[in-house]
Formats: sequence, C-alpha cells, structure tokens
Amino acid sequence: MIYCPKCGTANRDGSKFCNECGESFGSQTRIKCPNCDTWNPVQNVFCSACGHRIVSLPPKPGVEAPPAIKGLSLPVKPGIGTEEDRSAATPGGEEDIPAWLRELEASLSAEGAAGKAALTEPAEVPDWLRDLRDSLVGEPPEVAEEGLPDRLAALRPTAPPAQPAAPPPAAEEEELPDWLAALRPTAPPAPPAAPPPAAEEEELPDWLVPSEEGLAEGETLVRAEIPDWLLTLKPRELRKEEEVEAPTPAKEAVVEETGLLAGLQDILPVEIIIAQPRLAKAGEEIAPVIETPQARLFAQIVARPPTVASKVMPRPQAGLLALLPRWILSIALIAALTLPLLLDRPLLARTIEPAPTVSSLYETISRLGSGARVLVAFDYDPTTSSEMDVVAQTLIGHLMDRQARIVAVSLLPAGPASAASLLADQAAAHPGYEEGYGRLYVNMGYLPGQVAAVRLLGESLEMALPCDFYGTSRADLELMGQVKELQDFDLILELTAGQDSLRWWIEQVGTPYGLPLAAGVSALVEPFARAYYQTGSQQLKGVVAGVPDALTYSALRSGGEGLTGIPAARLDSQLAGHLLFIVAILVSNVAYLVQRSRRES
Amino acid sequence: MDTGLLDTIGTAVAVILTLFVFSYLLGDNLLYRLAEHLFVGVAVGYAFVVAFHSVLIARLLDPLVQAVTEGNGGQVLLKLIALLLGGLLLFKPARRLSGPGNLSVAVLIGVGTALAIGGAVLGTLVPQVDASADLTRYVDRYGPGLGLFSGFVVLVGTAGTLLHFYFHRSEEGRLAGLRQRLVSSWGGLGRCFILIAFGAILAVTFLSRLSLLVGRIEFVLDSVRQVLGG
Amino acid sequence: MTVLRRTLPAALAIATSLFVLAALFITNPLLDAIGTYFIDTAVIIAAFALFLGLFNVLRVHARKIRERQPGSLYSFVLIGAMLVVLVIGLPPIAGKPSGPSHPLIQWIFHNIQAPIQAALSALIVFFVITAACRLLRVRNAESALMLIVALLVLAGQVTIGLVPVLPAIREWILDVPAMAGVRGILLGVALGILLTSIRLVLGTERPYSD
Repeated sequence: MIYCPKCGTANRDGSKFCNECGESFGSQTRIKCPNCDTWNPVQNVFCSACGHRIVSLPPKPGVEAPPAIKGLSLPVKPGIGTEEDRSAATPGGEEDIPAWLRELEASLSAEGAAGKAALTEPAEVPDWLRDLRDSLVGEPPEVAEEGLPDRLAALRPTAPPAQPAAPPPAAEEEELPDWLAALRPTAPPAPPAAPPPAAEEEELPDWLVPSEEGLAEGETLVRAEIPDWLLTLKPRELRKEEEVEAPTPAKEAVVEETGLLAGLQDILPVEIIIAQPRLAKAGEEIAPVIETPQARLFAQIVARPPTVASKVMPRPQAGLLALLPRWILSIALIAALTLPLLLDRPLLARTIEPAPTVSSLYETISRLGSGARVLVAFDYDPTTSSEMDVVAQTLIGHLMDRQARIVAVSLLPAGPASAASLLADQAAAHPGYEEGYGRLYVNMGYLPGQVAAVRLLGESLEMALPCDFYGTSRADLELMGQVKELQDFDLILELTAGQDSLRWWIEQVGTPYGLPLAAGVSALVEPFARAYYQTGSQQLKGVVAGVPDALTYSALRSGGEGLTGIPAARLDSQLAGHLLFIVAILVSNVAYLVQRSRRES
Repeated sequence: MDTGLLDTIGTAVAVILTLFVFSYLLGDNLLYRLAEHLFVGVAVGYAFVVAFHSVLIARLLDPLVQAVTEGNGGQVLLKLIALLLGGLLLFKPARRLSGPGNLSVAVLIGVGTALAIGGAVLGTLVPQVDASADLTRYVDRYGPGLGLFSGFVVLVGTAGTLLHFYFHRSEEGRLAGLRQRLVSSWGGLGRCFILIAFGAILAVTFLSRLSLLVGRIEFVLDSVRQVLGG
Repeated sequence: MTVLRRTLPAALAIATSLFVLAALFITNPLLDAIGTYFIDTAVIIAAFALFLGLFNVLRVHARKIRERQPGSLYSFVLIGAMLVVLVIGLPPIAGKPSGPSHPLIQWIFHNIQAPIQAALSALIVFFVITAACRLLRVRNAESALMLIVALLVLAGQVTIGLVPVLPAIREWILDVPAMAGVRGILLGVALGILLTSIRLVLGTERPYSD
C-alpha cells in the first residue's frame, strides 16, 4: 500500500495519484520523516528510525475537529476520544454556551492579559462573580468564622493577592444547594448505607443568583446545564431521581476521605497517576480509527450475529469403498508387471533407437584398447540394486569384453559387497577373468569421506586405497602395482543412483585432472547427468540411465539385433507399468474435472 | 555345510523376507515390523564391521604399527592426531563432553568447505554457464533452425530459472520499476521451465522406482521357478 | 570453556579450509602434503561417524528394552541381529577373508540385508502412483504443463520403436526445456554451496559449535 503524503489515504501499490485528494505520487518511492528527516519507503506509516508518524491521518468524513478551548483543562470522561464523543458531551455545540460566558470571553480577549483584573463594572460582569472576586481580596462577607476548620482558615489570604486558591465562601447551610453543601470539608461523607438526606430545593445565595443586568429585553439568563459527566461525581445520596446515574462500577465506589475533595466519590486515585510514569511525546495526538480495508473487514466480521456452532463432524472412517481405488490400483499394478515376466518373451517387437548419450558411451568403451585401466565406482547400495545391477552388469560386461583392467571402489559401506558379487558373476561369464582376480580386476573396498574421499583419490591413490575388500595389501595386488596415480587410468566409470556423488566425481576428479569420465546412473539422475554431458568439454563422455537405456545398451552389444528373451520381457513389464500409470492419471483427472464442474454448477 | 544348500536356504530366506515387507500393502503388521528391525540391526552391524576393518585397521592401526616399527616418529604423530580427532567425535552426543568433539567437526567442515569451493566454481559454475551461452550447441543434432531455437530456449530458460530463484526482493532506484518488471516477467518464464524440469523429473523418478518393483517381482518369480524347477 | 567450544574450532576450521584451498590452487609440495594430510584426516573422522551411529542405535533400543516400552520385542530382534553380525565380522582372522568379506557376513548381506532393503524401496512405487494421481491434476495452467510434460516423457521412454515420434519428443524435452530448468537448479545449488562455503571460511557461519 502507498500512503498519500498529503492526506494519508491508503492507495494500492502502483497508484500514481491519490484516490482521495488527487495528489500526484510521480516517481516518488520515498517519503521524508518530519521528525528526524530520515528517508523511508512510501509504504511506511511510521518512521523506521524514530517511530514518528510520517503519514498524516486522513480526515474523518463529515466531522470537523472541535475548536480548541484555551485556558481550560477539562477532566476527560471515559470513552471520550473522538470528535463524536466530544460533540455528544456538548450537545448543540457552541449554541449551548450561555451568553454571559460568551460576553466574558469577549471582554477578556478585548482587554488582553490584564483583562481579568480590569473587568468593567457592572454591565458585563454579574454580581455574583464580582462578589466572588471581591471575596478573594477581602474578608468574604458571608463567611461564618466558626464554620471553617482551622486548615481552611489558614488558607484565607491576609494580603490582597491575586491567588485563586482560596476556598469559596461557605454560605450558610440552608442557602446552599445540597450538592454544594456536601462539598464542605467539615461535614464527613454520609455512609452509603445511610439514607441520603432529603434533597432540598436548591436555594442560591445572593452572590450566586445571576444578575439580569445587561441582558437584552426579553432575554433571560439561561441556567448553565451541568454536563452529565460532572453530575456523575455528585454523591449518590444527594442526587435527585431524574439526574443521570453514573454507570455502576463493578466494585464498591471509593469515597474520597481526605483533602479538598473529601466526600466525593469516583475520584481518580492520585497515587496511581503519580506512580505510573508517562513519557511525554511531542506531537502525540489521539489517533482516530484508521479506515483500512482490514479494519473494515474486521468490523464486518465482528458485527455479524453469532452463528450457532455446527456439530463437530465425526472423522469419516476409511471404508472399503474409499480404499477401493487404492486396492484396485495396487492389484492392477502387480498384475500388469507380473504378466509379461511370466511369459518370458516379448509381447511386442521393437526396433532399437538408442539415445545419443547411450551411443556415446558405447563408442567410448568400444574405443578402449585391450588392457585399458578403468576405475569403476560402485556408488549404489541395495536400495537401488534392482535397477542399478542391470546397468552395472551390461557396462562391466562390455568392459570385460574389451579386456579392460577393472579397479572397483565404493563410497558406500554396502557398495563393495554388491561389487564383489557382480564382478564375480561377470568374471564367470568372461574367459580369463574367473581366475584373474588381482591381475585383471580388483575390488578395493570402501572409501569413507564422500567428497573428501574422491579428492583423496586424485591427491594420493596410495593413501586412498591401502588394501582391498578382502584385506589384501595393495602391494600384493599386481594390478595396483601398475597404477600409481589416478592419471594412470584410461577411463573412470561412475555407477550411482544419486546426483550428489556424480557431482563429486565430476567436480573433484573429472574436471580438475582432465580425466575422461562416464556414468551409469539411475533414471532419476538422468536430467542432471545430461546437463554435464552437454557441456563444451563434455564432462561426461556418455550416460546410460536406468533399465531401458541399459537394455538398449545390451542390444547394441549384441549387434543391434533387437531385444529378445528376458530383457525384452522386462521392458514389456516396464511398458505395462507406464501405461497403467498414464491411465490412472487420466482417469483421476477426468474424475476431478467432472467433480469440479458439478460443484461449480 | 554344502554351498548349494546354503544358497538355496539363502534364496528362500530372501524371498520370505521380501514377502514380509510387501505385506505392508495390507497394513502395518508384525511380519513387516520384524523384517524392518532385522534389516536395521544387520545394516548397522555390517556398516560397523566395514568401517572397523576398512578404516580403523587398514588406515589407522596398520600404518601406525608400521610407522612405529620403522621408527618414523612423524608418521606416528600424524596418525595419532587423526586417531585422536576421530575419537573425540565419539563424545559429541554427551553434552558435557561435547566440546572437544567440535574440533573434529571443524576439520570435517573445513575440508568439505574448501573442496566445495573449488569444485563448485571450476566443476559446475563455469562449464554450465559456458554451455548455456553456446547457442549453436544443438545445431548438429536438430539442424540449423530447430538447433538455434533450442539453444536460445536453453539460454533464456536457464537465466529465467536463476532469476526466479534469486531476484525476488524489491529494489529502489531510478530504474527500479523497469528492473522489477523485467525480473518478474523473465522470472515468470523461468518458473515455467522449472515446472517442465519437475514434470520430467517426476516421470523419470516413477520410471526408476518402477524398475525397482519390477526387479523385486522378477527376483521372486525367478526364485520360485528355481525352487520348483529344481 | 568458550575457547574450546567456539574459538578453537572456528580457528581450526578456517585454517584447514585455507590450507586445503591453497593446496588446490597453488602448486607447492609442502602445501600439497599438508592439504593431502587434512583430506586424509577428514576421511578417517568421517568413518568414526559410522561408529557414532551404531552407538546411538544401541543406546536407543537398549533403553527401550530396559524400560520395557511397547515394541521392545522388535528392539530385541534388532540388537540381536546387530550382535550376531558384530561377533562374526569384527575379529580379524589372519590369512582368511574376514570382516565384511567373511562368507557368513556375505551370506547375511546378500540374503537378509539386500533383499529387505530392495523390497522397502520397491514399496515406494505404490505410494508414488497415488501421490502422483493427486498431484498431477489440471487445476491451473501450471499443473497442466507439468502433467503434459510428465506424460510425454513417460510415453516416450519405453515405446521404443512402437511410435517413432514419441521418443524424439522425449529427447527434445529432456535436452532443451528440461535441461534449462535443471541447469538453473544446478547453478543455483552451486551458487548456494559457494556462498555458504565462503561464509564458513570467513567465520560468519559456524555450524560446528554448540
């Protein structure tokens, strides 16, 4: 949201002009804090440096700010914070101010700071106010000496000062209104349980009777209405029935017992106000409700009538019908995969079109001379052996066809065992290799450390491979005597089901040492392997990915005649699984679309 | 014991345990749990045996004994330091004694970090950026028209993917708006390429996992045939 | 204590990485030797992590048995199997295959560990299918794109020779648009690794201290 710097209205991001006042934003992306001059983004409402509000409050529509009343500090009724409340507290507004007060204000402003002392007689100032003023200077005429307690007597001014702190002259009890009589410090407050004394008709003393001098003809002095909030301070026992009742507090009202306000109730306890420190903030003002969409939405939600909470629905049991699709899918999948394997012959005749990556690897291995030294990394464990064994068998078989010398290692603890059985199986199928362990092929076992292990192979082959899987020292292995360092190998073949180990071999060995690297990977690594195959330096010389590629490679090895027998049956089984998967997805989509259209209609 | 009989028993055990695991399709049960815990016990034990022989004996104790025999003090010291650091790692789980184990971890991290920096820059970043920028890469394969178009698609797609990942923050400045629009549109295109990559990865993942299931079914069928066929 | 826990490991990590980096990029026999030694030491320390894993498994399941928690029968089986393998495989027998190459250990590996491990991973297919059916639904253009690509790649994989155009389409998708996405991912991963490694070398990131 972008806040208008002029009127503070929230506008959508990207707005160029304010919706409210039309202020142009232009290319403004920052706004300056008026307090500390820090530049803030336009979205900020408060400064990020000093916390000052940098966006002015939007004016409340239809309500003007009340005129400031100078020189008077009115206690605030709880709940008054908005202009509405203020206007409600003073119904009618300015028209309710009595004429005498208006004249007083005018005379004060006309005569300036000394206006108070230079009030002209007698037309503007009522008699009672004049007398009040006189009483501040001299002995109040109606004061009964014996009616005042000592402490108040001590407060009476002895010299003519301009101090307004003296208490008002205490009239005789019968002349004062009841509520004013209760203010006298001598009278202890009546207990709440005691019946309140009968409220007498208010009889004003002469000095309080408003003078009608100076009034226009037909105009009468309007008795000033005591605001409701002031009436709530009146002791309950002195109130008349029609007067406003203060909202009953939850707890018993606290009646002030000491000081000038003794006998009054609902007085704010002074010590609490004193005890709580308040930090004066410059420019603090009471913020009106911000008209944001979120606030409006919140108000709407709150305003809604409460709805009856619906009964908690019991969790639906997964009945047989709900499980049926999953059961059907599982049974269908097992049946689809098993049937071609039971037949042991291909269902469909196919022609083989190997992928370029497969052909490339085939050519790379085919170009190896007899006796070429190949490092084969068996970086897969039994988790993926069902797939990777097929890939490894065909590649190892081709290497042995080419009479390559094979050194096997593994970055996984379970790798050497898989390598051992696979090498033994392939060696049994290739003449010369059966008795050729140590001379034609070796299994150098587990190499811990992952990326560090791969790097160690490049740094020091001797340190990396001290003995083989069977515990025979490298010095006792003829083949290891022919390879002193990694650069002695003609090809490195990485067999892996994870893209991390492929990346380690490429980054730590293939590229730094410029060694030819090829990969036999699981199908899910194929996209990443292709990315390395397609580089300028061809970081991978070829890739065989997954069972289909491996079977294609086998077909290439057998002269490109096509797949027959078990490999073809396996491919058929794979095809059946794929077709079932595609059908399941299409059916699921159709069902979903039908359901959605029903819901929408 | 006759090797053939041992092999037959082994095959039978393997088939039975495979079926125990597949019984999970009917719901979690005792047989599946037994097979699972048996596997964990055997796998952990096997890994320990491999590590003990391949590392502790072959890489530490044997060279240490040899160095002591030869009187090579330097080698002895180096091997002892390596043994000490490895041993300190074993105290990592104990809260009070885990402090020294941090040294071992620090060495691992330090070495891995250095190798990662070297490998990432020279092994992946430079070659992959170079390959993306080569527009003529596919001309040999797909011909001049489709080849050039493919090269252009790869360049735009790779850049878009990177933009989508890395440039999400809003910026300030004179050209912020233009940059923002460029990044969001090109990054949006990159998002399409990411979705294509994910779709392809999903397909090949299914293919790979299906191969595992086919392999297990094939193993069970072959074993049963072997037993029945004699 | 803070020195041992934080300062010293940090210094050691930074020093190690600087030495190895120098060995990678500068040709100097002494630097090469130091770098190689650090790498070899890291290889040995990594192996001890395996021992740590074993002790942890023993501790967890031994407590289960001691406290007779539900499922302690399975813990019995687990620890029993582990002990059998350790008893057979640990003692080095001079002159005969021992350790992992011991025939009994090999028998246990090929007939117990490998089949169970392979079967566990094969179970995933069933859940992949049901999850994919939920994921690959045509909710919007993005999911439709993913669905179409997945179907084309699947169809082109095994219909070798049956429908000639499908494998070609699959090849183009994997070579060009999917390649672009994968390459972006690879570059992003490499950049992330690079940045994290630089932060580690500078000492601003310390994953090795408590």
